[in-house]
Amino acid sequence: MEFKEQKKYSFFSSQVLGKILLFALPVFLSGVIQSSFFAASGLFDTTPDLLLISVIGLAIFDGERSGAIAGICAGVLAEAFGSGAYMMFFPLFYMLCGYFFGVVSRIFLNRNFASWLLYMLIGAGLRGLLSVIHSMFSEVDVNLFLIFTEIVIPEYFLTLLCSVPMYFLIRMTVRPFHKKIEME
Amino acid sequence: MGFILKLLKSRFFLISLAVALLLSIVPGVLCAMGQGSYIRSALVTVSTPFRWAFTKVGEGLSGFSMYFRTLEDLRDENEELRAELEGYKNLVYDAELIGEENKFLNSFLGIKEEHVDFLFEDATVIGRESTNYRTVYTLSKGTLHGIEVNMPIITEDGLVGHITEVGATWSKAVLLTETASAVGGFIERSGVLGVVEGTYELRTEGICQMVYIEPDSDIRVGDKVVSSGIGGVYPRGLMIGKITEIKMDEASRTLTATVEPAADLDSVAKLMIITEYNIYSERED
Repeated sequence: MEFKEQKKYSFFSSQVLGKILLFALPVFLSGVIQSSFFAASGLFDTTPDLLLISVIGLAIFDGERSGAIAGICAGVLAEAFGSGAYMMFFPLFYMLCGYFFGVVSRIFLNRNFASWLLYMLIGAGLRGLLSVIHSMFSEVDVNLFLIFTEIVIPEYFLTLLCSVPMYFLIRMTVRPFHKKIEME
Repeated sequence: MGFILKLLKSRFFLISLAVALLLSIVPGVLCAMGQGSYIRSALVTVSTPFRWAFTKVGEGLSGFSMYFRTLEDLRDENEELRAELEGYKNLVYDAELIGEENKFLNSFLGIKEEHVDFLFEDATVIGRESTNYRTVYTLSKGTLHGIEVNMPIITEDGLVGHITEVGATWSKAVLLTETASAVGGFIERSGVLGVVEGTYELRTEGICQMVYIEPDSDIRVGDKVVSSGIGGVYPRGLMIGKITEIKMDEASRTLTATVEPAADLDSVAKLMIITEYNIYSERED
């Protein structure tokens, strides 16, 4: 299959504005829940990257354009809800994830649950890589073993776990627009 | 390669990349300069009520999860405390042993001060062989420690017996209540002489008798009997016990007194062997 850019729509069209409003919801909620609920509940000793799940999810179901824009927004949210002490390049990371996962899903794989899990495996792995790079630059005495056992691996598996219910949530969110696009 | 070229030609991708880079760098730089980003401030302000609500939900769940976590923590803590308790039990046991040893050493010191002429070697009872006719104690000291046959054994309370056999690192002893034992003794109050010996009948009761006492001697129940030093085995002045019963021996026309040993012979565990004595002794070294 060949890479073709996603079909363009006017920014001011009601469909695009509707998408922005509706897609902002899972991204915003993901950021809020990620930065408040998990830290307060103490259910797990780590926090999943719900923003990444939302971005990849929107990219898979709505294409690379939505993925990239959702990625930039998610990155800004992540920076805003984070400590702000370091440059984490979250907008860049999420944007690239959103764009490339959108492209890859359109070219190679279907939008079923198995594909979703495969994307999440890769996405969470990339997030782990970002965590390692960030830790290596922000810490004086880098203990890779601790970084992996305390941060990367728990975060990886919790992100995968949370991606299961998020699959249904994201699919439900994009469903109305896809029907309309298909009809057009 | 074609994919990359297509990507680089994509205006949307390039604009997104530029915006993402800008948004990645600018807030960081502003933060580093000590100026909070407006976007950041606005987002945090808008999200505060939502975050507060989700925090409350999280805290509510935290209480629920804390129940299980606390249970688990309590289990771990219980195990830790059990291990700690075991350690303390061992410490208490050690302290008790040290206390007993201290008590023994104190009494040992008291005897040493009382009998400055004696040389002692402390020993522990490491075995007790009991037959119908005789009870023999095995002690923890032998020839390597200067122990010899016939050396007297005492505790802080009084005379116990004497050494009958010696090995390199051990020795065997019989108690003064045994039939093989005979100690020259006298009544401390009146100076009446006699011989304290064990009998087959009395040994099972843990007592012995004092024989060859003149019939008109001044002797009463409750009198204290000490060693006389006659015989060469025991030095003079060691407490043997007290008189509990006096009777006339019709055959020999002498008095026979039952003596209850001062030392607790049943529970003796640590004792002292008198290795040398000079004063009041008839023994030739």
